[in-house]
Amino acid sequence: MLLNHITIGVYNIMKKQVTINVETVTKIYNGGVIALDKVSLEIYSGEIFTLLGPNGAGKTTLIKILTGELKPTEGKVSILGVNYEEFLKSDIRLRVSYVPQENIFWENLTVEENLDFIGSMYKLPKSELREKIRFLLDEFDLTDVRKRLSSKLSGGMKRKLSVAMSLINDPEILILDEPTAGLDPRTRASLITSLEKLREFGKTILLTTHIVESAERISDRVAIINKGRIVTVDTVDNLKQKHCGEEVIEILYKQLTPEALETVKSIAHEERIATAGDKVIITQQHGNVIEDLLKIKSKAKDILAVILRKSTLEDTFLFITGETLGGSENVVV
Amino acid sequence: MLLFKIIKYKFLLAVRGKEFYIYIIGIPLIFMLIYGAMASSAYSSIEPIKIGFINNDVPLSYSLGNDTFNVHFGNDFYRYIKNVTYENSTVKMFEIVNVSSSEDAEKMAARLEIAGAIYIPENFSESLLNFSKAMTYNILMSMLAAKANEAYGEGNYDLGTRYSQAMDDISSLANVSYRLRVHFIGDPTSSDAMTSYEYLWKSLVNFAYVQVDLILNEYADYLSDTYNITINLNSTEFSTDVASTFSVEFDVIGGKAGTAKETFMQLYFSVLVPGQLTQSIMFGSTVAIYMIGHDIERNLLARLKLTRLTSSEYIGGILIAWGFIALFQSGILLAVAFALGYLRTIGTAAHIAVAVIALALGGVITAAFSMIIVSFVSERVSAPLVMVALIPVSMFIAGYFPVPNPIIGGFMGETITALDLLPWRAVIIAVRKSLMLSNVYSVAELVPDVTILILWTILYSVVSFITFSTARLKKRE
Repeated sequence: MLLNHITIGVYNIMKKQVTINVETVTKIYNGGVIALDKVSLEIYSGEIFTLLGPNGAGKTTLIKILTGELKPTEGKVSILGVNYEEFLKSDIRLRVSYVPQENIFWENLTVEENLDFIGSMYKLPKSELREKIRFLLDEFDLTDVRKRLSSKLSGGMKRKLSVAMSLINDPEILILDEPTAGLDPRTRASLITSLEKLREFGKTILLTTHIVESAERISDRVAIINKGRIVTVDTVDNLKQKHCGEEVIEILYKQLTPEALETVKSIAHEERIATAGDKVIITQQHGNVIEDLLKIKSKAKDILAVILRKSTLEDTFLFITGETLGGSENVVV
Repeated sequence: MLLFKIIKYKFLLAVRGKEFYIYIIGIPLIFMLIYGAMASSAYSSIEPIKIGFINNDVPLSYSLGNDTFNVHFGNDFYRYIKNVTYENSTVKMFEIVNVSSSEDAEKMAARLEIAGAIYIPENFSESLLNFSKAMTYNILMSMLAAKANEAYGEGNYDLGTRYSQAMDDISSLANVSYRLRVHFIGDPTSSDAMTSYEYLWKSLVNFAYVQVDLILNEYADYLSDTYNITINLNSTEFSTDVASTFSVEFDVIGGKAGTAKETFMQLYFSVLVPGQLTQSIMFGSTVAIYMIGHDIERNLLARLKLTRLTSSEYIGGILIAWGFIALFQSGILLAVAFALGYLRTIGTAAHIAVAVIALALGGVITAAFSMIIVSFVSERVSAPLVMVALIPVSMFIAGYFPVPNPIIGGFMGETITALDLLPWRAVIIAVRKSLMLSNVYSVAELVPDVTILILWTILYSVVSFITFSTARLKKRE
């Protein structure tokens, strides 16, 4: 089975086949709230594609449209070549799996029963289902707790069970809504490793997150979504390079004042500047301004630290949208 | 097969949840214990029960020496029963309403205007008079024979002869036949009807013994005066085999007459136990709504749409699973009822099968009802609302409290009333007749009830399928 997945994966990457195509999709909820505004995306087979945006950006709405739960107000969506209107009626739906934000299982069933129940719904042959359950229990470190009621699992285990259940049908496309939200760093890392393995198996993974570390580590490509619009789509490296450069300078103030910001601007010249709370982030794309900034640190008592560090997707998001992923108002110069 | 898996796992999901034990076992169990305790200690109500009285008794007269006595025991019984009070209370048991015919009584009972009606047949006076004469004969003959033997033994032949003549005089009383029979027309699912029925039994026996005492004294006086003998009745006690002497037939409204031979307690529990079983099944709605709502709220339903699961498998699986859940909860409650001594009548295997079908269909109806509700209202709102609404509704359905219940039609010889529009009413009636009154109803007589129940189940299942699949499985916002 593993070899099969890898073969399919390599084949898909080579062909760069579009598995999910979203064309100028708009979604307006009753009451006039615009959740998505002319969103267009192409997601290729075998890649991990991340929708990165703050809460309320429209990520879940887009996913619900892709899984057939919501109708777009305008635009076209196709999955594996099938139009969204036909999606739930066609067998293509069996090649797609979905893990919503909430843990998706029946709490009063054991881990094994949950896998058996969802697997039965795909009408898999008994022996194949048994084999898949064993494989998934093993793959997600759930074998020891297979007889435990799902409600009694830890948060991380619950998330793993949700993902394991989504793989029972061996889907080509896996859609995960905020899979790492609410997890401790260790469980998050473990889950990310599991998702990376799935990529090796050739799965196309679309995930949404507002957690930068997750997106940065795992994504082949990232779409930054804000206020219902796709702001940009690219690889993590390209995004960072394009909008922040390799490194950024972070100045942490006790309390950032307009005067202090003006001083930084005068030093930074052509570099881009963004603020997030009492922090000022400065790109390093047009020269070395760190020394000048260090000079002002010795004079200004309200500067707590000046740090030169690698740029992150959080910085990228900040420079692109002027907002942090937490949603606070910021300034980009 | 997927359907079996859905049934299995939905069953496990229900019975593993604490909600199951709180709402659909715990609450009905508490009700059962409270009502059971009330029945064991005292009659639960001390309000006069409104009943009808149909008196077809024909008066008659009898002679004793030169005297003629007129009797109209039907009228006397009317006056007697009017003044019957609750035990240890001055509150009258009945408020008597005059009813002209059995048909009128049936209609009024079906509308819950009266709890039932006492029907006095034409031969009531004749039967009671014969019974009194027979009792008089038995008592006096043994007494006179002893006195005659005593007189002859003492050599007082004259006195002995007079006692013997007295014995000859009443010998004709031996050749009478009697069986004192009255009817009670009512709905056996009503606790008021059952209470009235039980008091009617007691009142009839007491009234008959009073009449026996009167006639016995009349005969004793007559013989004493005629034959100049002494008859001392002060220490006289008499008894008879109540079961073979008296009969209170329960004429079930809309059905065939039968004689309910249970004791009062059994009759009380035959209302209580099916009432609690049905209430428990109805309360299952809360858990069903919660479970279905869980699938919706947690996006499980959205996830399941991506599988091969069909709407009919999902809905059908839930409906059938709830049939088994209803049987499981009924099993628990019946075991408790049995342990407490509330369950005494065991019918035939066919009766038990009918009860099982009725209870399972009750579960299906409950699940279908829940799916219809969840089709339109979120489970967060509907679950508590349904629970609050079903508590009083279940009480009305069980017949614990009378509510206006107009007749709206008939079906296979059965009267259909407004309350019958609540499908669980069909469950309680079928369970009661099959499980608790199996000695009254044959399985064939249960066919109309089971047919009504099946029709309700089909109707609710179809409506739930249409509403739930349209509103929850196919709808996209």
